[in-house]
Amino acid sequence: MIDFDYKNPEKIVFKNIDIPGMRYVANYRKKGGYETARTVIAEWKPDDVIEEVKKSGLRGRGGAGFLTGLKWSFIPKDSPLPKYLICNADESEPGTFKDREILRFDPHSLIEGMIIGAYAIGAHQGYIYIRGEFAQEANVVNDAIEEAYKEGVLGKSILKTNWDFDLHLYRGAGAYICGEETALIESLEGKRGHPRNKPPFPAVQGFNQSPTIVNNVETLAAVPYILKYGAQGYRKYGTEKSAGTKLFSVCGLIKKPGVYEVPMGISFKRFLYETCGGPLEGREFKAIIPGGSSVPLITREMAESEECTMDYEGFQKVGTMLGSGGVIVYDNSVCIVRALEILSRFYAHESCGQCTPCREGTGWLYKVLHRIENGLGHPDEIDLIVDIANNIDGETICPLGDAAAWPVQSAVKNFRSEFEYHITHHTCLPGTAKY
Amino acid sequence: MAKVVIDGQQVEVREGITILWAARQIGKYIPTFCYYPWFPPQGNCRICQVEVKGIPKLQIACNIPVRDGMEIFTENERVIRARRAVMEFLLIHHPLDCPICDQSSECDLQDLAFRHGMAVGRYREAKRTFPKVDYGDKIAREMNRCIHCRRCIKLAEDYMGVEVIGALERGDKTEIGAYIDAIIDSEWSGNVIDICPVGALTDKKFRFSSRVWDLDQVNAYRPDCPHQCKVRLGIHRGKIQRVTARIYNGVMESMICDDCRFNHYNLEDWVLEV
Repeated sequence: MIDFDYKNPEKIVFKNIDIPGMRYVANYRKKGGYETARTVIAEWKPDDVIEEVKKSGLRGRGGAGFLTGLKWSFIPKDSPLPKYLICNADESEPGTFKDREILRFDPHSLIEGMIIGAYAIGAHQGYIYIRGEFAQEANVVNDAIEEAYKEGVLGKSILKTNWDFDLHLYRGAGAYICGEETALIESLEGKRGHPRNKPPFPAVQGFNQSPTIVNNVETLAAVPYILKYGAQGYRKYGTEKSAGTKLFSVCGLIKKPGVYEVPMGISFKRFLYETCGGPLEGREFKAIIPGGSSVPLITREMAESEECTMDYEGFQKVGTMLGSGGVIVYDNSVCIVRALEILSRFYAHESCGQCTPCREGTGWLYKVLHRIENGLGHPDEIDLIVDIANNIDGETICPLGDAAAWPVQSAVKNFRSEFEYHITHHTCLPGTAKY
Repeated sequence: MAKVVIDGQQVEVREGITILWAARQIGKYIPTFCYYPWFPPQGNCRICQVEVKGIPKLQIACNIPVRDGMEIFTENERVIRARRAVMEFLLIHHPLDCPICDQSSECDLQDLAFRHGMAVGRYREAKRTFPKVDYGDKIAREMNRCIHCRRCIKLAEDYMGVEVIGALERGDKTEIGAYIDAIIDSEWSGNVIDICPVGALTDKKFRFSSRVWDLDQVNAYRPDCPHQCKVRLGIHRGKIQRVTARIYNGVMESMICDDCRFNHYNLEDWVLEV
């Protein structure tokens, strides 16, 4: 396990987060901003940039955890088509609000990361697809892009080099599904936000049928640091397989919710109790979702076990996933059935309606859970919801179906008695309330 | 050429064709709803899922190209389970009105329900219903029967050349409807009836006039038609009950125009290819 000062987390992506006025390009440049991008474009070859990012072990921070450098290297070199870099700022996962802070307080580190990424893959056009509800953040990013154009950071011959890069901001219209990369591309093309079938993958045929890379905000914001201090500098943090730091947005019934940047591989238990202050007075944790609502939830015992470290592998060991790093904490005052009903209502509402299992299954799950929660469940319906979830899991076009199924499977597995109590007593467990 | 193994049977197929076609070449049956050879695969219905050795998730046969050395299972336990699951999902909202449905006996969903459907429904909730929308005097839309395969949308966009129908709403409230004025406005609009695998889009003039299995199906053409549509007449008791495109193995031979389909019910107008 990584040794780490739990009270004062170190910062890489969040290095500018507490400095006021970093959304203005002048202040950002005073702190040495855009120097890395200029050096990279002037002195590095694109392949070396990809190689360096590969060596750093940076993995996609949006949820899937795919190696960023490897993803970049999938762009076909000899394609005559234009290439695109898209930043996925459609952060709509319940419980996740890490990218918002970057967009709001440090948009230029994202733009710098995008310049480097675009140079590496050979793209002259970039898009930031921002969530529709992020009105304030969209204004901030828009102002930052305008300022960057005035400063010569974007546009023709950026940063006094011979590289052109145009960056556009595109606001979504509030659909959760558009956070999935192919649905995002469809939406960006002006169509209905529906995920595409893979293959072909976006790196071969994406936006406008051209090679496209879609990266998360946090991933791109970490790129300037990697190029500045080298892959080894980034690998100082984190573990062998999960390098670097990760932003965790902690919410729910905990003393100090908020967004924390921590190196990967630290103890989850100590993070919850020391960094985030532990449970509220007189309560204790009951269940924790460690990676945004789309990952299986785990019990307190699993979360506090020795092997549960805050990295991709550690969370996998206890049967869940790192996901997007949105930690949702339920304490013993929460009714799990109610919590699950809320989650499944979200997925039933946000299912795009394209493929069968997700379209029909999410709605069915919600209806059954709604009845169980309100005391109208049948004894065989606990197995029924698990069966529906199993039938959705892995059989859909995009991961939304899996995301709707996993919380149900894990909640029934870990808290079956609570479901049974609802069915036999027609009410919530004593001491739990509806939030 | 690629050598693949389908259900233990070695077969040599052209490189790049999909698993579905490779399986069809050797006579293996893989069910499909949303797949139509006229369009690129959409992957909506998920009924054609097969297991490919080495890939943890089930893959849709209509979209995955074969590669050399692939080992494919089209009827093992896992695949059948997935098919049953998809069928159950499709049937939870489907009304039990086959006895009064015009599509009955030509319905893909009906055929597959016999094959993979469950005898008992586990769905205790109220069925989803949609308000009735009048689509003029040609096409009857019964949205409650729709399985959301979106073939009609694809046909309208790619072949009829008009973007008039599409998906409205989302999730399980998704409705396939016309965007404006509830009219599918095209000379070829009637073809959505033939492409619909279920009874969601049916011929309003044929409605309730005869059962499909009573019809004598005769190929014909109309010398006056400027498109020279190749049609199939459904004749019962000496009268033309309906006009459809010629459908072979579930696929239309060609589209037919609305004039042929809806306006000519006299046998004298047609030249029968008997």
